[in-house]
Amino acid sequence: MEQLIKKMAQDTVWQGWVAANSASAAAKDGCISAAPKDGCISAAPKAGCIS
Amino acid sequence: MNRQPHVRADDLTALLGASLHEEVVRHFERSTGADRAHVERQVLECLRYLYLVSRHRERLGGLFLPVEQEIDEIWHYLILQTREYRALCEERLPGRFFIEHRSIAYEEYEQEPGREQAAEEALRWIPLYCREFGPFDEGALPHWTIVRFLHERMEMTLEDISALEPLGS
Repeated sequence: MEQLIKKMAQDTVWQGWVAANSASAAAKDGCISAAPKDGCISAAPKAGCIS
Repeated sequence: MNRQPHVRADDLTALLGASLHEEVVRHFERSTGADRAHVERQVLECLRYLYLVSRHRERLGGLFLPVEQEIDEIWHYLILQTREYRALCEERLPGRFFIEHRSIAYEEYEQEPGREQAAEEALRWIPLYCREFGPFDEGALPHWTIVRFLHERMEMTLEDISALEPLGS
């Protein structure tokens, strides 16, 4: 595990790791724009939300 | 090594309840166009993620999401069913506490702990996952970012990945 951590922290590997997560992070930031699709506004009546 | 019995997929589905499980699967089949088996696996890995956070709060709470965005979307869906989500967290998952959610970009997150600690935090999930659910298989590979990275970019086999021991053990 220790060796693997050091290997992951090397520049080229680390950049790849950040990129692998940044792709997800970018999409995650898109949660706001995805909200209407999920029905929070326009689709809310279709989803039939209840409290 | 003394292994505890693994938590089975059916046990996790039961925690969610058959009705909500079916609802979630159908919702994501419709909204993504993915086939049922794929969505069921995504829901399973989402439940495994939540189970791990609940079971290992001290070690895993507050760490960056180790699974893919599609699974985060399933988590969001569950959170929106507020009553059921609260019951899942507080009455059925092993830690019995409400699991909070906060969006953050990885670039921001990794600034805080620094490289080696962030790497250790990403790897920390692996032995805990294997201890609870058994070794990673091909079906889990697309859903766990660190496992896919180790397999595809660092050319580790699933057996090697699943054999990783926690730091300091």
